[in-house]
Amino acid sequence: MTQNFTPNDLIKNLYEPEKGLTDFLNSDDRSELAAFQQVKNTLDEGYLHPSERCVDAIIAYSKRNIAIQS
Amino acid sequence: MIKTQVSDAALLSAYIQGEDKAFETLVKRSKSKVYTSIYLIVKDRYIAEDLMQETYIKAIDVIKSGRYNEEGKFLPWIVRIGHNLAIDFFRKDKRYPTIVLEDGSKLFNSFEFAEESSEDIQLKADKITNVRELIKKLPDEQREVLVMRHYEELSFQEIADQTGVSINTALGRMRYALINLRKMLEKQESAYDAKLYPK
Repeated sequence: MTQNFTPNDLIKNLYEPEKGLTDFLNSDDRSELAAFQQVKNTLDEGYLHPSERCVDAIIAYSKRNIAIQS
Repeated sequence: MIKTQVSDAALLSAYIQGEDKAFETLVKRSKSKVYTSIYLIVKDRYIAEDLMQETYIKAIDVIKSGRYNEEGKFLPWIVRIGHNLAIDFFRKDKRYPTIVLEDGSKLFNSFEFAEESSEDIQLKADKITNVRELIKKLPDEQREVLVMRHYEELSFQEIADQTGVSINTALGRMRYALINLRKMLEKQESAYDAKLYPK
């Protein structure tokens, strides 16, 4: 069984997916969602990663022995 | 086997309870998003790393002083700190002080990048420059929603609240942003093919 989704529903599902929702998509909606996913992947591929040295320094700072106030 | 990921909120609360390892996980989970969002502004890997370190130091100091607002989400919060620092960097044009840790290593001005080859870095830099250029071409309203949702990880409802529009408008803007990006990417691809395989 398929169900019609609005274009905005597809975008919402792309970023904030609800479990099982894609099971009800018709073939047009599925290919539309796949095309959006491809663009999203391209945006993800653009991520840069900091050096390990930079990350290690942050982690070292986070472990400094300062009491956390509550 | 189903692997359940511990939420950022649970990790933060564990860190507040004294589990240092929890913050390490948070850093590893968020580092690329924070770093990239800073890089998109400063366009320099070295400055981006220094600002990223300052971002996390600020966050750690806020958490350790008990001033962290648990109602907010960690990732959008820390990305926002980094964003503001990057903007300040240009406004004030100031240099950042060097902090020396107990073991003598410097926290800022880390100019060593041993993990990636220069070709890898160049390739990545080209890719991100390209994506960034395409994002810049989007109309302001679409670009704003795309950055807030994709890079700052705000929900559509939060974007709607912050920008003063309905959730449907925010979703619509995001949709057009993705459609426009797709068109631009397709155009680039066909231009590349035409160059590679001329008729």
